[in-house]
Amino acid sequence: MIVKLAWKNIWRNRRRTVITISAIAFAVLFAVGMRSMQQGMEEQMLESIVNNNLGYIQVHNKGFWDEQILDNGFYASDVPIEKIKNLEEVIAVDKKLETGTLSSTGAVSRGTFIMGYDQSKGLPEKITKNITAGEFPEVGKQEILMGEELAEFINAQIGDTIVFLGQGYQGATAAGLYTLAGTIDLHVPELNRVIVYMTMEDLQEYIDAPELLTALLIDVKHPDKLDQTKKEIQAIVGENYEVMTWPEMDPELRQTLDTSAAKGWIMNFILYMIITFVMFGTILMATQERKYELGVLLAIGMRKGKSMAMVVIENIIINFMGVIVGIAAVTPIAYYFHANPIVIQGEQAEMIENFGFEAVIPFSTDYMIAVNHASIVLVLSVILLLYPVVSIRKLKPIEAMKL
Amino acid sequence: MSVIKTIDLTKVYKQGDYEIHALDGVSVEIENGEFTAVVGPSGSGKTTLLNAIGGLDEPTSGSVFVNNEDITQLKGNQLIDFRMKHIGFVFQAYNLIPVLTAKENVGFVMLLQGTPEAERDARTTELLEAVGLGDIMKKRPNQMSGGQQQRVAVARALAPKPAYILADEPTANLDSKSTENLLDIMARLNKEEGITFIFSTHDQRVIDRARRVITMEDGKIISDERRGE
Repeated sequence: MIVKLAWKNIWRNRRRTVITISAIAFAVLFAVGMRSMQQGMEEQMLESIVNNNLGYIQVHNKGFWDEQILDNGFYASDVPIEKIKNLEEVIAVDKKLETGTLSSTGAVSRGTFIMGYDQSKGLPEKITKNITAGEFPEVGKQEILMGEELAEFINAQIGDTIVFLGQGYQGATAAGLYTLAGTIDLHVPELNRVIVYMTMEDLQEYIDAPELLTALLIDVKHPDKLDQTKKEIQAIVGENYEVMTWPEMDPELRQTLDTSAAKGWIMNFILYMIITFVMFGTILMATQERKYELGVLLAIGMRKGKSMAMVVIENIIINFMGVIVGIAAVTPIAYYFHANPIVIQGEQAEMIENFGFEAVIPFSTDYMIAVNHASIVLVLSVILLLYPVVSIRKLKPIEAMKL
Repeated sequence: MSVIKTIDLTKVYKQGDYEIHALDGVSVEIENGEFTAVVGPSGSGKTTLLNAIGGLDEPTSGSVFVNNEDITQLKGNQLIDFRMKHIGFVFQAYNLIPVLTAKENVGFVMLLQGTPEAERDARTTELLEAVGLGDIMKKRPNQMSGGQQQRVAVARALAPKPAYILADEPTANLDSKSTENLLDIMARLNKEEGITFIFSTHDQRVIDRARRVITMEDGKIISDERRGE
């Protein structure tokens, strides 16, 4: 009966109900949209760094992180990789071998960063799709993929022979000739200036250390459970290896993401202050103009508890509808900009790329954003309901009906 | 046997440094089946008396007994439940619930009492037909005339079978025809079903139909006239 009466009351002043629903829906749309954009940027930043290069968790020989030299590498056969792969939280374990060297085409040379990839897996599509000239290297032909700017700097053309000269494992001299199969634009100028991809086997041969790795990159199912997963991996590999999570390896990124999130919450706080006043205005008006009627209900025998429940249900239904409409409106927007990220142009784009990120803003489609913001709006509305509840509690029918 | 008895009832309002005695030692007994009008000029205390009898307003001192129970001792939900079970109210401004139909308004108090739907349905139909509104059961208050709304209010007041009905200026907003119509209905219900009616009124047409007229002035009863049929 109370619910039926509350429902009827909601529609007695259609215009006000629609305005309230619209205001809440707009707040939810704006808050979720903003957060979705921000989280999308954060996810993209994280993905650029963590997925492409860092991994959520890395396993190294103890001491490697402080002194990143080949001599601090380890042999794949010494680590129970299969056991790590079998952990509940682990999606994949990738071998990593990287080293610095000098690349040259003759007159010009430059410091280069060589990254080895598993030839049976190749490189991820997100890297190969960025090949700007030539083709993906063929296995067994000592071919390489090189950053566009690096190739340009050393005047290397597709098909040219590149000389690599550097230090191998345990003091050996590393030297080799490789054919430039293709160039790549990773949209990260810092990387484009130094990166070279070659197969793991070629790189191990170049440094004269078959089976040597510098790290294991571990992809996980739930990035929010990193610490627990780290403990499990540490237990498997033992104390001679260091297991590090991405925030430990890149605290600046962690800080950047935290700052971004904090800015978002400040914006949302301001937004919620505004929406709180909008909601309170509606509740205040609705309570004041219905005091007479509530007085009549008390007079004819409706208990205060039931009157309170009726008003609370009315407002919760209105606020819930606002939230649903807001989420329904923002969801296609978020999905659209997730599939078609906003592309940043000009100087700003250059600045972002210089930081090592792609100059695009993809929206996040994490459903928890909507759940969190919807919850906040509902919690706010419940807090605001204290006003009518207290008003009804104090209400005396005779005074209410004198209005 | 008296259904209502007030003993030395006073109600004092403070207005700045002044005290206004809206009720000043009112003692009165109303018996079962009476059709009583409480009359007097504005500010004489007639509405305050009705509010005190109806448990809507707390007297400053004195007692109000209804069926031998002192309702001034009841608090909060006890008093609300008491009103729901024993008293029917008819207000000057009708005070129907705007979002409910005539039938739902009449059945509302029974719904609060937890009366089964079939019984509620039968009683609301019977009452609306009794007040001549069997054909507009599904209309909402804004689709009815003032007279029709007041008749729905009477039906609502009667629905839970109260001990008595308090009607505060029930005809103040009605035209002559609607007033006569309403009074006919209430007189019939009083006569045929023995329901006690107590009105506060200025309306001579109501006073003419009352069998007892209590006149108030300055918070006191100055005359109490009983009339024959």
